[in-house]
Amino acid sequence: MAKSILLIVNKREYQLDIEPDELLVDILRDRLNLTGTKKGCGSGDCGACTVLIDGIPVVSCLTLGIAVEHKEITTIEGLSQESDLTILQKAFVDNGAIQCGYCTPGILMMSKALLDENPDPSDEDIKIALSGNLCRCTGYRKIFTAIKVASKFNLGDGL
Amino acid sequence: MSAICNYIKPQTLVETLLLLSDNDDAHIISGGTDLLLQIQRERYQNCLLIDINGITELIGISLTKSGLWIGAATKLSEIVSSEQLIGAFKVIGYAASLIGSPQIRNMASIGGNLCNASPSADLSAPLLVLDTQAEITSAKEKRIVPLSEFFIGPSKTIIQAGEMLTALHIPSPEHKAVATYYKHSTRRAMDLAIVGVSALLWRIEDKHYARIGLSAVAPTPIRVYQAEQLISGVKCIDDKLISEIAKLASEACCPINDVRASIEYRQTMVQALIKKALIDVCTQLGLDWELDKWQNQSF
Repeated sequence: MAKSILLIVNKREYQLDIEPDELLVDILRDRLNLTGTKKGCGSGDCGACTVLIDGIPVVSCLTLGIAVEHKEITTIEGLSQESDLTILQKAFVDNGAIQCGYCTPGILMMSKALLDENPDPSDEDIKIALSGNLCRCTGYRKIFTAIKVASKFNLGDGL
Repeated sequence: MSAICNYIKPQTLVETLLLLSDNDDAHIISGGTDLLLQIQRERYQNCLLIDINGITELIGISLTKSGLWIGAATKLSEIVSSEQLIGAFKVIGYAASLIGSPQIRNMASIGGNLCNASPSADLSAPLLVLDTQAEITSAKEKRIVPLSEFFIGPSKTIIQAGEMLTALHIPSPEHKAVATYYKHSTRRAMDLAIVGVSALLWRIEDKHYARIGLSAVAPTPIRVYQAEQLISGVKCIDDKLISEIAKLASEACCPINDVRASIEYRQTMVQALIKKALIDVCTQLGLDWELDKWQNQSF
């Protein structure tokens, strides 16, 4: 039985009729055309579908759309203002932290959440933060570098 | 998702319990990290989901003189970072930090980890050695059940229709106790335990007492009472005693062969991890001088 609910995605409001079993990742991709969020394993293991709910990273493949009514949902499309990339996104581009790119939106959302909470993370902090995000191309080193570079910039040390 | 579910998000515990008593097909959902996968695998059909997120009576951690209270809907991430977990209670936060990934810990709850009743649930062994009491509530009554009686088989608990797990009560150890948890898994994140071992050790005057909890080596998480008896009242813990305890404890296990490990491997590893866990708690209690001979010995 569908229910009409208000979803707030990237500060924009959407009134949608949602079935109780519809997953957030499918609503974002198929109903709102926000295809930046990727669906990888569909079982919470790979982290590709990571989004922020009220600033907290979760996997959208195990989140019911109906359960996040009125909450602030942030996807990869909501990271940058208009066409400008954020410092974090630029650091990923500049440091070659993206190869096939499928894991990148999830890793960027997780990295944003990490830097919001901990502006100067150690390697171990980054390792723990990204332990739920699989990347099969980069070997993670360039991702670590990009996050470090972004954190130094945020701290005022410059690039 | 294949099952069509109805979904209700009550505001209070009373409302939740009434919904539970009125609907035979109701399931409590907190994080949903286990339940939604089971629904997708069509283990449940046409069920009513009752979302308990936001019910304040079910969330939080509070420490009093008599012990620790943890609401069933408390997120694992809150448990990991809680400053209420002091002394032997720290082992709960440590075990929670080994579950899933940061995203999963932001979603999953302690109650869900227990009610899912996986034989390998990381929180089960530490909570067993801490003598945790489970508070199970229905619209009619509330009952307190030792966690050691809570699990009755893989994916099965003693919770009856109309009931739900509402909180955990963990008594403060009477004497200064130390605890540890060892999880053996091939990956440090997003992996289940091949073997999990938790140990609690305390001393009264010059006598020692211990509890040992094991996961992933039997249809449910277990305490190994006979093995615990070997240490009970003992003044000097030595390598011989630790080996005997590990051997006796492993004999109480009945692990399975699966994709993660064979029966023989689990039986061997459980002995090795019990030894490690006991040495760890002995060291925490300042008994390392009695254990010098272990230092260069491999398992």
